[in-house]
Amino acid sequence: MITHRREGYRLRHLVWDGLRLRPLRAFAAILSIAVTLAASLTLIGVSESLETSVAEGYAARKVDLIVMQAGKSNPLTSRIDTALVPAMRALEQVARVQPLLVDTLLLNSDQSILVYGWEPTDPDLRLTDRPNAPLRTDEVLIGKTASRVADLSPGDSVTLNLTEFVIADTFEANTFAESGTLFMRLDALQPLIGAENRVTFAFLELVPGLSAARQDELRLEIERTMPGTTVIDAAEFIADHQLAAALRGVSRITLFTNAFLASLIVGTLMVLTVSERRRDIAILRAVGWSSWRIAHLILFETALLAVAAALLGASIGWIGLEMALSHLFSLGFYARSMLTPTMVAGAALAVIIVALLGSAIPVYHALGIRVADAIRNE
Amino acid sequence: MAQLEIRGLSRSYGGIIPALVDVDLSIDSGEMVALLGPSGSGKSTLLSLIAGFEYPDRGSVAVDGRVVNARDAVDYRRNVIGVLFQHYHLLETLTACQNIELAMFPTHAEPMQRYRRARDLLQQVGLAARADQIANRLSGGERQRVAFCRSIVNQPRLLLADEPTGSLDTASKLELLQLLRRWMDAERRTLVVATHDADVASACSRVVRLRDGRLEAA
Repeated sequence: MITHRREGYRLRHLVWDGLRLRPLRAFAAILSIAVTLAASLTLIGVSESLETSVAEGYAARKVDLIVMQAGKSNPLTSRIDTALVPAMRALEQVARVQPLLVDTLLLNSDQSILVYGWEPTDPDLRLTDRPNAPLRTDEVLIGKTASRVADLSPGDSVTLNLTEFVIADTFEANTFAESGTLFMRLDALQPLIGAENRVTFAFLELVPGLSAARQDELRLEIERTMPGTTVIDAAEFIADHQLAAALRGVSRITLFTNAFLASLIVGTLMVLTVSERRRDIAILRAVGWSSWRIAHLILFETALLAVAAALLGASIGWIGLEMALSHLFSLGFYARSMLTPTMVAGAALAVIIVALLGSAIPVYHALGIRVADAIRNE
Repeated sequence: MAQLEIRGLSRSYGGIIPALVDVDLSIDSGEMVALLGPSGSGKSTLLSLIAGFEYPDRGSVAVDGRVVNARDAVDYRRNVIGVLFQHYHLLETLTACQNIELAMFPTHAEPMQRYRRARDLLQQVGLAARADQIANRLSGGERQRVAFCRSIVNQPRLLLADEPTGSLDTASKLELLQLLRRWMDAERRTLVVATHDADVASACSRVVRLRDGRLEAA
């Protein structure tokens, strides 16, 4: 009241007084919208972080282009001839070629695991305890997530497709997905799955400073001279990454669902508020308030709730993401938070917009109140 | 030309129950007119139609030559009329002062101007000390005085009062009549008051009788 005396009664005071009258409802609205925002932020954050982790993994491996079998929607079913690898290495724009065979195998006869086969000299097969000795054909490396989940340690024996191997070491994955896999020698994996002289992909590192136009020419040249292949760049490959794409899809669906929910929550609560304040709204109309001013009152109240919810939700979401990533880290997924203040601000703004959209029905409801009816029914 | 011209006004509810039938009425500027009649005679409906809170099935209401219609309703309610209700119709959780300030929101007045004007009016009706009191803690007489301040705060040319003394005790009723009389004398505006109270009717310069939605011959 002191504030009002100093500056006169304003619309914001009326809105604030309205919210103070229904503290429990205001709190419920803020909390429920905040939770939907927090859930969305956490999921988007995890999705973005893991996707970035994949991208960073390929960047660390210096993969510019990926050669695979043409016409394969699932990249893991791709098979190209190993004879193409020397031809790729002969290309002057190519600095390095990493052939890779990927397949899903039966681990210890009871669970499936993704197995990567690399050339024996590939740096991905490095061993921490004997760095100068290559991996043997009866040895495998296990990713940290796979090691934890399957409870396997260096020195343990495992069977893959009924053939026995020894775990030589664990490895730090380049990407979160690889952390759940086994690495072995290409020449050990090929006979194991009946894919002699076959690889799934060839990762190409190009010579530095190659223009985009020259890269496109190279892609066309490979596809022309090596029939049955297709060449995609790392960004396209990452976009098609199944786990990242699935997470992205889930996070987007959740985002839309949560936006709809937030809108519904706001709409329902504000319709309730408008119904309770039917008489007050009729009085305001009777003293000359326009439809716009009435709508402004409701939108202002909604915006105030939404701003509070956005601040709370962004905070909870940020904390939630850090906790989720910390949990993922403990499982061996090395994803760092990609949530930026801009993204959080954008999400908070989106919540405010969604809430305002949600108040369309209560506004319509309020504008439909007829003064004569509302006052006569008192 | 009369300030308020009502021509052939009819209104029914649900298309069945006639509330007003073919009412013609002219009221000049500065008149204090009582619409007298028993409950259900159509007084409140007539005031509601004059206020533009609802619209007639037939006929028209014109104030200062302008027909009351939905398109100009906001401007009309804000600048032309003031309304005083039997049940005060204050926003119960706001103070006396804030209730009056709300009526000035649609005007161009600055918040502090609104505040000062509301305080000034409250002082004029003897409620300066109750200005910051929440409406639901005021007595009936006090509430009606606050409602009166709200109805005249935008200096309407036409004040409409629907059973303004209907919920008041005798002392409060006399106090309100005195306020209305004083305002009429000072501002030279027009007052139309719907009532079934003979005391109120006798305080007016003209009495118009309504029965079963029709005007009775004088």
